[in-house]
Amino acid sequence: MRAVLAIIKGMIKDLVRRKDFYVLLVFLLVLMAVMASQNFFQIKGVTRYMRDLGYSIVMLLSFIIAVTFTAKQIPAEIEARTIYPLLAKPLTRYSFIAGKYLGGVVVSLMSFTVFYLVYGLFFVTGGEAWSAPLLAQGFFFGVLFLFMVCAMVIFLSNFMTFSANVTISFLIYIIVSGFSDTLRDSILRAKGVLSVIEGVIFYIMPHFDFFDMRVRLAHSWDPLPAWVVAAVAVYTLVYCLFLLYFSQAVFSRRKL
Amino acid sequence: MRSRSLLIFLVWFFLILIIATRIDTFNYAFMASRSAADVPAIFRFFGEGRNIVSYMAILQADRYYHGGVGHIEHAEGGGLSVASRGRDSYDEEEGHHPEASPFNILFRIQDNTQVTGHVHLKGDKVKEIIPWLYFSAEIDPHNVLAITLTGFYLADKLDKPQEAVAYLRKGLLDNPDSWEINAELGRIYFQDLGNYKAAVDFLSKAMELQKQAPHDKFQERYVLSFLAHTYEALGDKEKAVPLYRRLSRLFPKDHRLRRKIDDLTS
Repeated sequence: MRAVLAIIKGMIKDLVRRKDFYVLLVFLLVLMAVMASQNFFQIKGVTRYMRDLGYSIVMLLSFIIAVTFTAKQIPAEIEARTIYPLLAKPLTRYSFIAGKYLGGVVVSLMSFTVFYLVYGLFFVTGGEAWSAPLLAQGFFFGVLFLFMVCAMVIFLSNFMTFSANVTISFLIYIIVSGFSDTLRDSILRAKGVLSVIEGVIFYIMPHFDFFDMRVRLAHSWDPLPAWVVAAVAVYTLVYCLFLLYFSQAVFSRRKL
Repeated sequence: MRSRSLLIFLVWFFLILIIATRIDTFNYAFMASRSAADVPAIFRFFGEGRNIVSYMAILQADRYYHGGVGHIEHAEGGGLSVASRGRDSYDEEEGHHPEASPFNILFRIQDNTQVTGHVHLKGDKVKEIIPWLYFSAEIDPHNVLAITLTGFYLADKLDKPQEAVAYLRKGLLDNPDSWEINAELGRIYFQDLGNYKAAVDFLSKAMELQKQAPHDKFQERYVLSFLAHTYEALGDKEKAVPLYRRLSRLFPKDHRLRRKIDDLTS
């Protein structure tokens, strides 16, 4: 446990030391300030486009931090040969994977929390009425989203270099966010073997679309019912456990 | 390593192919009132980018009008363009999927996390669509639909006819041959500002420009009816009657037009 905590601490130090987070934070602040200061034909209280774009940017920036920080962990340790002293401590391979995963999650959550606070500040001062439960659900779903992203990236790290992992992770994110609906409709219309193949793909792919609260937040829809929130949380937990189990299983058999 | 790079390139290329087709099919071709097949594949990759993004911004405005839930209108003419507003149409909401088994838990979660309600922004809330219409015209100053829609919402929904006129006049500088912008200016001068002389000028110009552009009888009705009403408001029956007669020829089953002609000529 102490070794796992040491890995997490190391990753947090890395986040603080590197400029990535600060650059993205300044970018977010400038963008939100520019959007908030726009004046369209002297009409007051236009906020939805800012809530909409702001949320998308917060999620994208958090995704960038999560992927870039987590993806480099395992390949970098192997390439720099620093993994040998780590595993000789003794640190089990399972703990190593768990440490890298939790480190990625903590780093991403720290960044996401700051980004979301900035977003929340503009959200509540924007003009239109706001709902605290909805804002809280948006944060909670963001947290779940990052748990899932980090698990996926750690899993892919076993097979890919840093750049390949980042590219594939972005591709998966784009495909799932944009085409999950299309795939679902295709499954319901397909018959026979095609329906089975598409069904398997639908169940295997990480459903990032479940965490998207953009429309709900921007257009002030009602918060999600408790059972839906619980179902998404359970889905995330099960999916992450599967990915981490397979990650450590692959990593345990790997020749270093 | 090289084979992996090739794989990544192929995946990217495949995605671009899918996305380009999707943009055209669902967002662009519909808004431009033309079939997807009209846009050559080469333009989807290398050209019309500004135009496509501009129309996507209009589509985003339409989503905002429906509380963030998109829908695709099937009415001929699009439903948003000048003269097609208010025509009978039906729409298909995003998020309405074919029926799935209630035991399919992922489908159920997806159904419940998505917003699928159908609402229309009312009153002051309509202002939320303005940024997207504004962006649309900023991205492509030749997007006449974006300019006329902005004018319509400013004048009719947000009670800002002066701003609408100023914006439409600015749009007219970039699109001097647009009958749509002239017609919209004429309509606002007639309906919202009561400046009948300016309305006649713009609507007459719109009528002349329309003759040189492809249009349907509904679009012709839009210009003619406002021009006829304006002449009527000015007390110029001699100019109003021929316009009502033209309208009656376009829509012979419209009894109100015949009654109007009878009233004016009796």
